[in-house]
Amino acid sequence: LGVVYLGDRYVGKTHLALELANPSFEYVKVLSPEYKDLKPLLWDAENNVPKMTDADSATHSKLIEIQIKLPAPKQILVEWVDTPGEIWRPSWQQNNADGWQFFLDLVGESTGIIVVLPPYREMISVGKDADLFLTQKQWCNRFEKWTNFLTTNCPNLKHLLFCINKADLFCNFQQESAKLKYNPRGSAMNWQQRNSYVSQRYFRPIKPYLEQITDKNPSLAIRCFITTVYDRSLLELPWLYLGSFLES
Amino acid sequence: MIVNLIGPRASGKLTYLTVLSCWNKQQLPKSRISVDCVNSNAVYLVEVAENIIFQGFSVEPTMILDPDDYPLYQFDILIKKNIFKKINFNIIARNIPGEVFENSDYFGSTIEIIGKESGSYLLILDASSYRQDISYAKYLESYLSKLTQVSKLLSVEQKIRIAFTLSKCDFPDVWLNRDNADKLVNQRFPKTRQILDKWVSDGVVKAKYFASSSFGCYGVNNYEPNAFRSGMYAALKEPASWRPYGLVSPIYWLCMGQDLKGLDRY
Repeated sequence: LGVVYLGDRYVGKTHLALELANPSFEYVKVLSPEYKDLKPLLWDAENNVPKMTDADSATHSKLIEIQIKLPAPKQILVEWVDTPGEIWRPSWQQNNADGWQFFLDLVGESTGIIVVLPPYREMISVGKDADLFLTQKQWCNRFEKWTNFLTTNCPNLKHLLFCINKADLFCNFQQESAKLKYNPRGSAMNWQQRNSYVSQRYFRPIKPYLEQITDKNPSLAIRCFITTVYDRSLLELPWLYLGSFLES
Repeated sequence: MIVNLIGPRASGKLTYLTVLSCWNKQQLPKSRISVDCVNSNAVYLVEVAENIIFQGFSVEPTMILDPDDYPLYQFDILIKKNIFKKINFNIIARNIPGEVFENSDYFGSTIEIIGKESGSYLLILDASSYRQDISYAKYLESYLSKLTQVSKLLSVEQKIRIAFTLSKCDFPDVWLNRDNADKLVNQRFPKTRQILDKWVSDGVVKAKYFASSSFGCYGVNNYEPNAFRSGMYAALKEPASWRPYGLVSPIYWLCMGQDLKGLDRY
């Protein structure tokens, strides 16, 4: 199974993937490639920020081997596919027709997609630079485009994960992490409750679009997450979910 | 004996097999039934049960494959009838996706293959999908017409046997009548039953009716469904209170050709 990361520019797709490989793990351990090998490829050490994903190509894929401590532990090999945010620009699609088609074919075959979303301006905590983010209205409009894209181009999709990233900017992420934390021997919340909690609290403005996607594909499982590279539990949750379904 | 699981989409066929696979591992208290997974496909279902069903997820829909490629799940079932007598039987189950049952474009070639190998069918219908009765009746009519042609090659002992099993019988009104599957089928699927009865009276098919729930009920009076519902799909709500109902009776009847009282409650 190929797991495709989608998202606009600067939402943190690459950083999320890089930090997943960080050796200080809880339940999800990336066996290969190792963090020390991955970091020079994905991290701009000079500016201390993630490197921009090269827009010369529509997709950048890497095979990653992951060990997941589920009730029945498993080791899985996943093709992790990162996409540069630029591909959503019509000008990029026009200038890179082959690349765009390649990308459409890829998502058309995918059974698992993680869409990384930015927070919207109104949810950003006081004291953080909220002006860098879309307003709630703009954010909803953008999500409508995601809805159209996903319902039109992904006929084989079984698991669709939405992650509002940068949770450190919009909530008490440590408190949320403690509530949502996974524990195979019995968490405070089960997966249904986690999904309800996150979707009601953070995804309410786009609820009609989520329902629209489900209506068009009733067998598709949609799950909502909040993530941040500063909290390992939140970072691992989407992978613990996907890992439950991926074959060893 | 090969038992083919058939029925419409999202009727709970794979969930049925998955919870059957984890019977021993989940240690139902006081159960006199033991289910051992014999082959690697069945053992894989235990992993699915632990990581998916018992984590509160629904299993993924089964993919359509070439007829020869459907995995076979082998189980060894032991029933302690009393302190002196044990009954042991072995089944090999094959799960046929709902699309095959619902669409004659798919089922032709599948029935060609599976119909010649075995005449045992576990037909599973979601008890709450009674509004689909007319559609199900049409599907079953087409399916049986094709199946009876192919199954002429079967021996007399292997004659077509259909365990018509209602799944998801954990809704309060259904749960109260779970001991009377005949009545439930008459009430909820009269057209489908009519079709099956016609084939039975023609002497081509043997059929019996069963009620089941892969998750069961729980709570003070044992009347609260132990399931979340989301559209057509259901997921286990309280894993610690898992008490399935009526899972072994249909396969016992298919394999042994008779009933055994007291098999439904665990």
